Amino acid sequence: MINLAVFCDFKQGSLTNNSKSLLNYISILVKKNTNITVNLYTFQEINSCQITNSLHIEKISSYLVDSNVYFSTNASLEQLILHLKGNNITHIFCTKSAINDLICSKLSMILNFNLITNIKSFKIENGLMYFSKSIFSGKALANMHGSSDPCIAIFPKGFSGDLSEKDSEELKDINIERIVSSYISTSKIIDESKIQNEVQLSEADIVVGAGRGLKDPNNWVIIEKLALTLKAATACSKPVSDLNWRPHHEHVGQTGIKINPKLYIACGVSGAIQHLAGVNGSRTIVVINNDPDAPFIKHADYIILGDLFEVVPELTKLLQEI
Amino acid sequence: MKILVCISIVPDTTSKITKEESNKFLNRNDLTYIVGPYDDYALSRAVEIKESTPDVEVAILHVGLESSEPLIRKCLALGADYAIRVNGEPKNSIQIANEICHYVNENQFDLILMGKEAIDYNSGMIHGLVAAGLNYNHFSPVMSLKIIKEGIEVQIETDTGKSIIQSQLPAVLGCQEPIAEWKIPSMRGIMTARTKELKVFDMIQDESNFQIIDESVNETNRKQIMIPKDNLNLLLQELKKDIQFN
Ligand SMILES: Cc1cc2nc3c(=O)[nH]c(=O)nc-3n(C[C@H](O)[C@H](O)[C@H](O)COP(=O)(O)OP(=O)(O)OC[C@H]3O[C@@H](n4cnc5c(N)ncnc54)[C@H](O)[C@@H]3O)c2cc1C
Ligand SMILES: Nc1ncnc2c1ncn2[C@@H]1O[C@H](COP(=O)(O)O)[C@@H](O)[C@H]1O
Repeated sequence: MINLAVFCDFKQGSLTNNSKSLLNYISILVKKNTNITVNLYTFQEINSCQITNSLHIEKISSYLVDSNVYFSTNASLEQLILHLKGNNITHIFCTKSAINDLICSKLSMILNFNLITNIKSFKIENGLMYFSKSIFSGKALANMHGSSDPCIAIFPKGFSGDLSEKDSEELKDINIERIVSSYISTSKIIDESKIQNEVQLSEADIVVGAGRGLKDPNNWVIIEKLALTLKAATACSKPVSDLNWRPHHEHVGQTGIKINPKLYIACGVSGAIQHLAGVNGSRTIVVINNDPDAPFIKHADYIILGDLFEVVPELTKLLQEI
Repeated sequence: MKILVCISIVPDTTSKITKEESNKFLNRNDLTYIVGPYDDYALSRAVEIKESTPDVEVAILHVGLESSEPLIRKCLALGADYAIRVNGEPKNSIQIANEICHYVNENQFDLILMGKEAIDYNSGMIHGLVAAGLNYNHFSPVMSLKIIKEGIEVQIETDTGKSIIQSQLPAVLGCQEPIAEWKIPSMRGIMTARTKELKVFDMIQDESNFQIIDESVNETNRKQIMIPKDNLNLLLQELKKDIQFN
């Protein structure tokens, strides 16, 4: 019997796309394996929650700590751990996020569950779970032994398993059970700034990235216009954030954010290996560069050789017309 | 104040990954190894704190084999006081975390700095595992770190933005840019590093269940389709097969 807990992420009250795809995938698993029961948990404030019918779920357990503290010590998780134990949870699945990483690493140590991250593919056979992990910045894969041991599996953002199957979209409202923690922390949040209105990079389906080829921070208007037209997030290369042309949190790559959108459009980025390390999880890559020898060309699905100052506005115009 | 910086030693992203002919695993011998770039930031911040605050001691800890020692010396050259190597093959996050916890339990530290993640497996888990094992405060990814009267003030990235948090010590932090200026060792640093102490201990446990059964090189073959710059419509037609524009 697999007693699965799924940690779900909400943003502005609704389930994130990442959690939706994971839940969709899990509902397909549940259909094929009758010995899985699913329990949902969340660490965000929510008032309602809709889940597909086929998961046979009646409630989601919402676990919050006081808003001006953070999940910084083991004590902050005490009530959650009691709840997980009460439900005889044997496995925890979630998609990568700051909060899930924080909580899962601690739960792994406290509950003595194995920890598997960066999952590329997954299957269950004869009650054993088989994971394949992406390693060395996506350059290689490691296949793991099948196991029925308790584990915490953190799936990358955008994980959807076998894309050919899609669950019926029928949604129903489920109850919210609040687990209240009485934890008092020795840490205090003294200031919070929320990223607003812009599409968040790590959540985006489409990302427009730009590099030193833009030549000046003022030129970013053309990138922002393209991104706005596509409802895309913007990203940049490391030198660009080092030069303070763009905020640090936009830098993707080996030392920055790893993205895996459906589409990444790179404008004036040379495609250094350290940059590729952050973007090679993208499903489709379009490169706009005027140098036929730019390393990125070899790692692109579509290549436009040309001056980005002509190509980008032209592309934006075409997109606005459809 | 005693600061411990844990460093990972990982293949450089520029390394070409190949498969070992005779067996099922990747060829690790030909790879170029570097100190994890995030760990470099953590160490740089520790050295900055040491340089600007009285009575700060910075130690480096690495769980790994003897072949890592030249890179550990490089970390010493950046300004750490001494280093510890826990001898054995690092196999998984939980094993490494247990080794770190064991050392810290015997040699109290106020602040443990790590990178946000090691770039071999990109897990970003060891700092959380260690914090739980020691029951210390834990924050990650930390973008700025100040020592204050009460302990520390950190700026972290959250799923919705950024938060500034004040917390007490002891604490374990996963660090990322722009926490410090990236440093390169000075000539003097390199000279003094030669005589700094590098202690070696044996692993407390080496029986961790190593679960990887085989490895393969991931060939993502991109389509490589040229789009003439005066026919961008062609690009849109291609993309529409995959993506919905609205
Ligand atoms: C340890 C380490 C970690 C690193 N981590 C990262 C990381 O996380 N992320 C990252 O991005 N980098 C990282 N780097 C830096 C990386 O090696 C490259 O230096 C960087 O990615 C290059 O940035 P760029 O492509 O913006 O600039 P450049 O290399 O200068 O490339 C600019 C490109 O724009 C093109 N161009 C110029 N003008 C035009 C035009 N008018 N029209 C079209 N194209 C034009 C040029 O042909 C060129 O290809 C790291 C480096 C090291 C050593
Ligand atoms: N073998 C190791 N020895 C010491 N510290 C390590 C080791 N591996 C990883 N770390 C530390 O743990 C951090 C997170 O690693 P990971 O959880 O593997 O992504 C790294 O940035 C290092 O600071």
